[in-house]
Amino acid sequence: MSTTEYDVIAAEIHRKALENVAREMAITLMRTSGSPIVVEAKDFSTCLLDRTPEHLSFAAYVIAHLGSSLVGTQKVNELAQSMDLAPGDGWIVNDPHTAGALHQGDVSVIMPTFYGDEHLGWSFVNMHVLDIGGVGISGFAPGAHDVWQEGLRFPPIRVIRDGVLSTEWEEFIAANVRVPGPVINDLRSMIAANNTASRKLTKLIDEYGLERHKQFCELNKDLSEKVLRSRIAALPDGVYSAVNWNEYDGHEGADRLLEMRLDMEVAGDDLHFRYSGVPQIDGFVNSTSGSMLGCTMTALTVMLAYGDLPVNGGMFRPIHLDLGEPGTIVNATPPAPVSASHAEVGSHAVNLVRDALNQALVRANEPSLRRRVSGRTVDGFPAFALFGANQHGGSSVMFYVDGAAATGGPAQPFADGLDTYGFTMMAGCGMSDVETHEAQDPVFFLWRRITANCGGPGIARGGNGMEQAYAVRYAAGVAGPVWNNIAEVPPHGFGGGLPPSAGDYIVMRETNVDELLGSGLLPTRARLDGTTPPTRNKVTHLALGAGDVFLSRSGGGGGLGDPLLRELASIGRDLQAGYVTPKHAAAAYGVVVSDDGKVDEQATAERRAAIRRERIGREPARDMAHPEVPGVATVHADGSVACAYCSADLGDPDRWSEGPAVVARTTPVVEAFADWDMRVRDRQERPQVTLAARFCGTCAGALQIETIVEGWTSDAPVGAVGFAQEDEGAT
Amino acid sequence: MAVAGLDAFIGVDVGGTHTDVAVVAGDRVVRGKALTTYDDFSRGVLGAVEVAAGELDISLAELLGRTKLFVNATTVVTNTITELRGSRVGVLVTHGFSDTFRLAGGARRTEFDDQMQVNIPELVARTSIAEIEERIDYSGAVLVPIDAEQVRSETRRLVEEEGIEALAICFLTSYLNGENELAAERIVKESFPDLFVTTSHSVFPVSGENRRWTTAVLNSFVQDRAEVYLTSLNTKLREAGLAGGLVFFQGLGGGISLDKAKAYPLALLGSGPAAGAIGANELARRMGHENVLLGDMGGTSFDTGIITGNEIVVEKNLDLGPFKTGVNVVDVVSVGAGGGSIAWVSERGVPQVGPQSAGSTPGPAALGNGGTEPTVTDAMVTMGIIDPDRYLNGRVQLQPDLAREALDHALGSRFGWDADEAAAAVHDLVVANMANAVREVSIEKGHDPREFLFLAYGGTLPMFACQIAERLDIATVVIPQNSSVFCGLGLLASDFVLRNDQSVGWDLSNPGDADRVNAITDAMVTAARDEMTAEGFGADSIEIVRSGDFRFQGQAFELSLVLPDRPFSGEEDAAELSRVFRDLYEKTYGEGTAWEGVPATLVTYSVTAVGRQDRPELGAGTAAAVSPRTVEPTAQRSVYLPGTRTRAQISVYDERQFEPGVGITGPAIIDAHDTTIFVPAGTTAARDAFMNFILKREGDQ
Repeated sequence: MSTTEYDVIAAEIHRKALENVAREMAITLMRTSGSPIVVEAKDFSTCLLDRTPEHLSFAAYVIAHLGSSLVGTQKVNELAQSMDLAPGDGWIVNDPHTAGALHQGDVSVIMPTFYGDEHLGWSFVNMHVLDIGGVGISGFAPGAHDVWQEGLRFPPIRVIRDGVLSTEWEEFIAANVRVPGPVINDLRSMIAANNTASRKLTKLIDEYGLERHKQFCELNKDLSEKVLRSRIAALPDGVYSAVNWNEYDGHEGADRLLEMRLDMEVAGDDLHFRYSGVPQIDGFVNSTSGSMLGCTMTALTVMLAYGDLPVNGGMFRPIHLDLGEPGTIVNATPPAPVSASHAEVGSHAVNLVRDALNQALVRANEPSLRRRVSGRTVDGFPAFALFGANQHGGSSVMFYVDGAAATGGPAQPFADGLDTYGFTMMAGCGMSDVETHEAQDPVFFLWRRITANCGGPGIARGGNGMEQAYAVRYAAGVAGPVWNNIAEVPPHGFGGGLPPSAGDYIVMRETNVDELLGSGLLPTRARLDGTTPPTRNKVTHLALGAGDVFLSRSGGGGGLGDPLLRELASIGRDLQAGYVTPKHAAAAYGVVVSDDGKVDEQATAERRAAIRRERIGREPARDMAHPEVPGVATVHADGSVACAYCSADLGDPDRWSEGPAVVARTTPVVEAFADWDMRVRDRQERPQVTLAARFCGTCAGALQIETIVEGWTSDAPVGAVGFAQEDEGAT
Repeated sequence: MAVAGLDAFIGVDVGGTHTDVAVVAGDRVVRGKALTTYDDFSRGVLGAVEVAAGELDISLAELLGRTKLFVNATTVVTNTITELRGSRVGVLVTHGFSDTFRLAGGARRTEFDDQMQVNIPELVARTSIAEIEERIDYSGAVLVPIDAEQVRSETRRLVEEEGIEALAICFLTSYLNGENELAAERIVKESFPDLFVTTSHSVFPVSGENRRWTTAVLNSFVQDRAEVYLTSLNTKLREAGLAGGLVFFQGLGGGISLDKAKAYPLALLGSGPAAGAIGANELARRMGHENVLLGDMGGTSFDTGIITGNEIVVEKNLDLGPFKTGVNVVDVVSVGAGGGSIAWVSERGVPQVGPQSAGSTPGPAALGNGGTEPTVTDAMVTMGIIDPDRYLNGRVQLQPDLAREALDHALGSRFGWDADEAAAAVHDLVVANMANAVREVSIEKGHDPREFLFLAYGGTLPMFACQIAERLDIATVVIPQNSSVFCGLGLLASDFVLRNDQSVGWDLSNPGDADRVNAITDAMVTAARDEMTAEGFGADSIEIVRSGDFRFQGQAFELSLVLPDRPFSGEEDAAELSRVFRDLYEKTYGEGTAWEGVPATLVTYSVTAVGRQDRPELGAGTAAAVSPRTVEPTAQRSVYLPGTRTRAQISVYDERQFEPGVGITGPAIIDAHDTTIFVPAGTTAARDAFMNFILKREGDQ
């Protein structure tokens, strides 16, 4: 190639080439692995790191692997210092406690990269394998009380030499998992993807020369660091706090609400994330460093890594993570079970970061940053991992990521949320075709549709979730754990936007599916009949027999801005499409539908006025106007804060929500959701979950609508409500 | 079908801006060009053909009266989808699954930025999707037959209340059993015999409802605009006196008849780029080359593709933006790198070029139409490679001062570069972007570019072709005599092609299942032959090509193998196919990666029927040996050389000086009719017997 004096250009071309290497690793993995978890759900990641180790390039699939790949590779790197390292060596890693894995089902293969004899760094491949043994299936064990019940644990172990998995280890793994064939083949696929990395990297360095390669790697990390720092520096210094509750009891006790908090400090161009949480518990929700770092980076990346900010090691430099004292749900130690660390406490960390960043973003001077606010989402899904004989004489592991792909996304200031956004950390997550499921597993699908009244109402509506139902058929039955992580505490929207419907699942027994099909009739929702015994939210072992129906509904994304300001045309379209029901439109948006199904504008104006009077208990003194950015309900400038709908001064910029210029209302979430015709699990235990609303006292515009646990105050110690009175189960 | 006794062939490519025509009449090849006329495409087509007729000194009617075969490529179908301006479509879908199009198999994009995650455009209004009670199970058994009355009333509602113009029938598992879809179609036709209907199993009988149904909906979506286009062109051409056959060009690189195109208009997707690839292949074949990388650079984009062994690579199951389809098209990669691509500085302070383009208004700064952002063309003017007095054959006077000013403002002042250095930076970036695209179609698919020649066409590419080749170690660049006529000639070199893919699902560890598979494939072949016969092809001129997609059981991606043109033998074929597939797999993914203890499965079977069409004899040129000689430059020009980063006086030649055999050595510039060829130092350029320029690096000869 021709030489160029303009290193910045050559370095840019080199950066793209490194991104191609990570992408090609991903392509190799997708093509050689058959697992729908890889191919359709894209539940995997590939990346390249240098010797430090810092990321050189990262393929955007499971974003949270930014954390696990760093922590895991750091661990392998330490171990390698005292070993003879050779090309073709490979470590298997899946232990959240010792090596940063997201959960045990996410297995990594980490291999060194060489140029000639020189050890350059590491390539990392991770995928969710179909099974890892233990009491759970597919790596999720809600029933486990400690980490040893959760399945195989690989702190970094060098099981690969010369690019080949050792026969002894292969036999050991095969003897300990439910579906040895696919699991071993997936390990081979991960080796193949690492091979791709070595091959492509060598070619690249042949082209650039080793010194230039190293120089460009450093330059590109520096450039990404610089951009992220400039965005952080544009946020006002200060501490922004957020709180959330993880729901758990898979152990037949009372459902507990596990408090976790984030204090995010913006200090110049550095960001400090300080987490705290209640003591760790004996259920699989606890999180460890890889998940916490990965989930923090997930929210940061989707909100701030826009435009010209290539994701690499430079992005970690301004980030400082403090997980507090060991032994809490955010910083668990053995024997705490951790097999859903990323999907329970971890995914709540994503929402905490979203929330804290939103607070900082609305205070930014730079308009492009204010336009980055977004709602929280139901960052989780009704999931199951069922196992049983199938219609082909073999056995099926049914871990459908469909529900994860089908969670509604956060509303954006310029658009409604994506209907099939999925788990925030899983970019590109897809769902399998119904025809694929039916061809492989003993299931017959009854429907798959978008659920009404799902996305959080707002000026911009949150994305809707999906509902699907299948009957077990062609086999005696399947069984395994079922769990759902956000059912009772729906995530809130932002800037006056409302929370979305939560996710749930229903089991219907003794149904008439066979009888209907026997007489040539489709088991539609109207015809379907059966009994629906109450189910817990997390179940260790659910047995589905032939004819039983499993119905799951994914939750939605939070809304942005006061729903009373949503355009009537948009609501009309939502009504016509069936995304919202007339009852929901009336209660949440103040929209009245006349008998012909059209929006009645006059009646709507009256109803919206009535809702505003109701909110503040008097006639509003001013009209409400559209805010500059939907979701930015407060305007901050020079030590003052004003309502974005009417410009009324709201008083003390730091404590405006407690001040006299706003009207505060609290309602039990269950009641509010019943009024809005939305779904949330009716929690049977105290404390209840409440909806805390703040309205502008002048125009009655919705400024802040949050879901919090009854009795919670910001100055009480973590876990003062919802946990302390029943923590005897904690380890 | 072509009519005997006639001697002219016409290829027409209706592009976004221009309609290009190539006519071969006897031993003459002439071209015609006209602006594409969007209100009635046939006007531009006839206009362009008339220009070509003028070149032959005959009338339009006379030319059409002598024409044996008229082949047409069009952007109508592609544009209908990209602009989302298709018919109002209604859908009959299995009850419970009307949201499949919205869910789209998970529409989240593999991007970090949340604000990239937006809902996919709705091709069909939700109120125009009607759920029908019917069901076929995983084995193909009909569990619930359709309810005729429901189909009738729902269709009536769609037509009368929703005002649909076309219908798609999309039922679950129809890829195994099309019975319910066909029954519904019959009932629809009873009430609405003229309503255009696509059944999903007929366009793509392959497992996976999202892709199959989307394909069916798209076919109905493009139908109306395609129909108007096809009918109008046919009528106007016949009125104007077209005597011979009219064939439409498919994106997979072959022709189909008017009737077939009307029934399956989606096949016309991507037909323009496919014509370019076929043209490149035809030229390579005549020159005796088997392996070609092709590149086409215009004002806004660079398209590239690969030809190995004179075979064009066809990509299966095209993803068209957010829409997953079952359409097969010639594999062409497109990047936003053209003469109008804008240079800018990103937030990290890194210079970038494209994908934004200045378009034709305001266009490059040097045009003086108010453009202030520097483009690739501005960089070339600044470096001296483009002669400002001869741009577009002297039709437009360029202003180098404005180009320099724009470069200085955007890049130079920021990085401390003078105008030449800034221009060279733009040059390097656009070359890198194009080289990356060529890499994507070659190296990343396992082909070594050093074994290929680079065929470069389009008005802008000859300035960059050698630099791209150098980055990829390609020794030879070919610049054909007349770039813009290229696609038209490609059309004339094409065959008539029908292709069908069908899920078969043969587990090779069960050789006894071969009989079932053979019954399916025999039916496919018989149908293909019948269809070709109906198109007027005799048994001798029909070629059947069978191929299959294989994977290890439980995988989701397949590798394709060409299969023998006969039924499977069972035991023997199963063993042989397993072995061949395993070899191909390890060759593709690396030794030791084949799945152990897992049988291979033949997932999809494809039958391609090729009807050999009459085609013009394109002259072998003056293929007699040409004696090498050189000529003197017409002028010297000061050019900033991208390789050495120095300014030098270099020789300038006129294209017309180059008879076959004439060659020169770079650094040099050859000003041609509609382009500029840059010959770097150490590279020779010579005209061959076909009047192509052959550029070779010294030391590689």
